[in-house]
Amino acid sequence: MNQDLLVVSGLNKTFSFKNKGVKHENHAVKDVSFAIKPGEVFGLVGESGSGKSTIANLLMNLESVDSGEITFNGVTIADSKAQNSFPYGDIQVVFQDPRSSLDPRMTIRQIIEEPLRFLSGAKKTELGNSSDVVRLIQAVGLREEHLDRRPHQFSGGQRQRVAIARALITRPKLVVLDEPTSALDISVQAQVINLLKSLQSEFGLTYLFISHNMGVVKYLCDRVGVLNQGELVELASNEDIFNRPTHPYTKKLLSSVPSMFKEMESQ
Amino acid sequence: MSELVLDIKDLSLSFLTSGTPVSILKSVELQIAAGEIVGLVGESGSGKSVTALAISKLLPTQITTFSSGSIYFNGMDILTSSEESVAQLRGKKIGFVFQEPMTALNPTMTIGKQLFHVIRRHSDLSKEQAQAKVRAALEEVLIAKPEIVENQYPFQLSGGMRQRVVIAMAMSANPALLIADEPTTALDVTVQAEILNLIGKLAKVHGTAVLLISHDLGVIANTCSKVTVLYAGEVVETGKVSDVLRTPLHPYTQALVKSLPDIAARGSSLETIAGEFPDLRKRPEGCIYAPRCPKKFDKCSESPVLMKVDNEHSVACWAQGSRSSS
Repeated sequence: MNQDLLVVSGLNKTFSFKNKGVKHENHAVKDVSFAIKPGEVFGLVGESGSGKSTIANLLMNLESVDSGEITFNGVTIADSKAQNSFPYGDIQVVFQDPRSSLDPRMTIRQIIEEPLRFLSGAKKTELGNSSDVVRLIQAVGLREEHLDRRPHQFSGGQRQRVAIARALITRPKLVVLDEPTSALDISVQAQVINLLKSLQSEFGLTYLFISHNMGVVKYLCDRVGVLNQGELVELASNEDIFNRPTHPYTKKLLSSVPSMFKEMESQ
Repeated sequence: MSELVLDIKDLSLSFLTSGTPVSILKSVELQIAAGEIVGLVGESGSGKSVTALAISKLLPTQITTFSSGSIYFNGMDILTSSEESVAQLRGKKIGFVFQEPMTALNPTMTIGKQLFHVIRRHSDLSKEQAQAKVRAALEEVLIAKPEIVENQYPFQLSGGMRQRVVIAMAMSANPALLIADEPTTALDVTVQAEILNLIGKLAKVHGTAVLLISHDLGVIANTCSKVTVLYAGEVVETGKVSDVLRTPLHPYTQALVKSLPDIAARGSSLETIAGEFPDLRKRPEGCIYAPRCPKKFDKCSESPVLMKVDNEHSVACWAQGSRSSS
């Protein structure tokens, strides 16, 4: 089956706010369309304010869509009518900073199991009581005895592993990774990236990888969309984006990245 | 070799935490000459920022103990100097640029006014002269419309513009040393490139010595001439950027460079470092990196010192030392 897993078409989102009685509008996402195939790693890159995280929030049903449509597995999950049911558990998210995304009062076991409470229908019957928590904690490189500890007893990299295990407990098809390594040190980043790759093949996952780090995107993503001020200015294969960028903004973005290797080649 | 602006020798210090001294920096060496940009790179907790704060004696005196070494700034021994004389240097002879410009600026004061105060504080200029200097300082950091920015508040500026203002402030007294601690970490890459260019240009024009602290090897490679690599408060390698990053000799530097996804082939696994960052309360005997090092041998139970590989490239590693002497 080569039907697209996720289809985003003509997506728009505007935030409006008032300042001193004057109404301002921020068109955060402008007519964005892309599709993600099953098993793919799809990258979204852009600078702050480009709309990366707004798109993630729209996908996760954390914001409502102004116009346009998002379909998942052929079913509409978001459009302007806002009466669609969101496939809880099939789409999961990992955020940037595990210090703020994990509840400090909960044990690691409670954190990982928490998403199961919000499932319904077939998913609830399937995953209901039994849980993969031990298998998952090992799959992310931690140990069973860690389950009874709390977040403060772990390093940043370990906490991000917990956040990943929490995302996988509902056996999702699509995982949205919103800057998952940006808060981590380089050597820890490498461990988490390796982990994401091995989990992808182990669990047959599809990733939407959101990042401003071109090095990580180049290494991990099959196709890449470049966002600038809410617009998708270029969408191409990894090869084409990094070797033959066509849009001036993509070229500017790539040439701004301070690569130690670029420096060395020029010497 | 030109006159050293900053000369740190054998600097060791510890912090008192829960009644126990914890060794934070151990035998740190760092030299910067006028007009030179030196990078200090390391992961969280490696002691980068502590080194920067030690230079200007900004560490909390109640808990900080300097157990060895010296910090000479323009020939003045910082550690034995009085608080008053070091206070004279801060902002005037030693400028600072920190990571987050929003917290470095006063949100309740216009850009022009805060810059004016800084200039008056560190010079004998009259009010009129200082006012003119405000305009010139903003122009120097390539702010397009200084007459407008002067009257704006920090929240009205973008992150990149705010950092330009902070740089204008730090450079307004024409310091001998500029300490830039992760100056572009909070900025977008396109803005980062502009800010790094600006720092490079100002250092060249004014002959300022710059200590650029970053966790980003790319930033260091593009901006600095020399680099010092810190691991758990110890210098593991130092030398010219082209030598240290292209042909790293210390196993830690080697692993750090290889763990970057930038050049790794897709499909291959990234190299990682085994084990975890050491608990500094129980600093391992011998080489600090040995517990994680793939090349460790008997000799590593002794602490290595920085050994010269050639004139400018030094490494604290027994494996390397034995190779160069044989």
